[in-house]
Amino acid sequence: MKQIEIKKDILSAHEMIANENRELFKSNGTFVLNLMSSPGAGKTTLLERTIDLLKDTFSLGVIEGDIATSYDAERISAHGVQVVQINTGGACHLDSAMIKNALDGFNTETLDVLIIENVGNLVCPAEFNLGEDIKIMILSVTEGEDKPCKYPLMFRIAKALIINKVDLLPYIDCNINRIIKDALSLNPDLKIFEISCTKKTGLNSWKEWLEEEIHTKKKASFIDE
Amino acid sequence: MHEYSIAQSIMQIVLAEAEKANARKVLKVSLGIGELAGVFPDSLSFCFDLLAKGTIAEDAKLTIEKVPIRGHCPHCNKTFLIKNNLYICQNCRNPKIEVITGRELQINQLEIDDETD
Repeated sequence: MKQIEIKKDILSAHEMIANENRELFKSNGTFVLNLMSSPGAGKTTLLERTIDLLKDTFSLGVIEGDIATSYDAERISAHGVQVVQINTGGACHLDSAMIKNALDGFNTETLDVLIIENVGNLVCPAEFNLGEDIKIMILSVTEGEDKPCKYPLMFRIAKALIINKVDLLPYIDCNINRIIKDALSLNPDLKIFEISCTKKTGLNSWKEWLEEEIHTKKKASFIDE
Repeated sequence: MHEYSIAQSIMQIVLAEAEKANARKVLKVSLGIGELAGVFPDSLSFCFDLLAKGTIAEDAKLTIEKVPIRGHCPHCNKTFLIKNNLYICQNCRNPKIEVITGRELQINQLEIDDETD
């Protein structure tokens, strides 16, 4: 009988591929976002608004992740942007291997920005790095003000939180200040945007912040060359 | 979380390490799972046992050490347990702390019968 020390990360195979993706994005100066939320929070609509704000300045690509259908890819395609749809067939999150395969659908050398819309899920996507630069969380006001405390990991690892559907606040019982307070106590550096994608409010600050992040990445890639 | 696919990843590593060590049988697999990792131990054990059938890890005992969430304060250098989602230094109330444990999904050790037994 013998004891063997392993001390190995169970998800190490995923992490290795995520790092390969990261290196590719870094060498091409591509800024990558991983958009996460529960189903119906407004990821695809936010993505549509973001594309319209950025596409005249940056070359964009989108990877859509869903269990089934290409509904979201069709919506994105209508905005004149390269898009690849991943159907996971049951997996509740995207992983780095799926992203690596999807990159065959792009000319990655010319991509300034790649936005990955993850499968709608507040739990599993938080565990799987895809090789992205930042994780963005979207929480809509109709989901309940208690969600940050109930799903702490998701809020801790996000760089920014978009509180969406704020136009509905007069009609529902949601204390948005509680969302903000709880989210910041989990993650004091979290950047928070209050947005209505349908009424197109709050999008300018989001656009300005995103442009700043993109330029910072591009400068860093340029210096490393 | 989806314990079945985690069990699949565990099996891949266990069988690879067992082969490296010339194991005839895997007797025990010791895991370290952080509280933040959102894994349900009973489900994980169930899935592991299912996947281990017909392999040298069949009937191996799976033990799970739960790793608590610990924070470290870069301001006063204290390390402390984080409870009730309070991500703030217990000593100086600095809100900008580092989480140093709690997200682990690790295989720590294997116990095997090798060819010399």
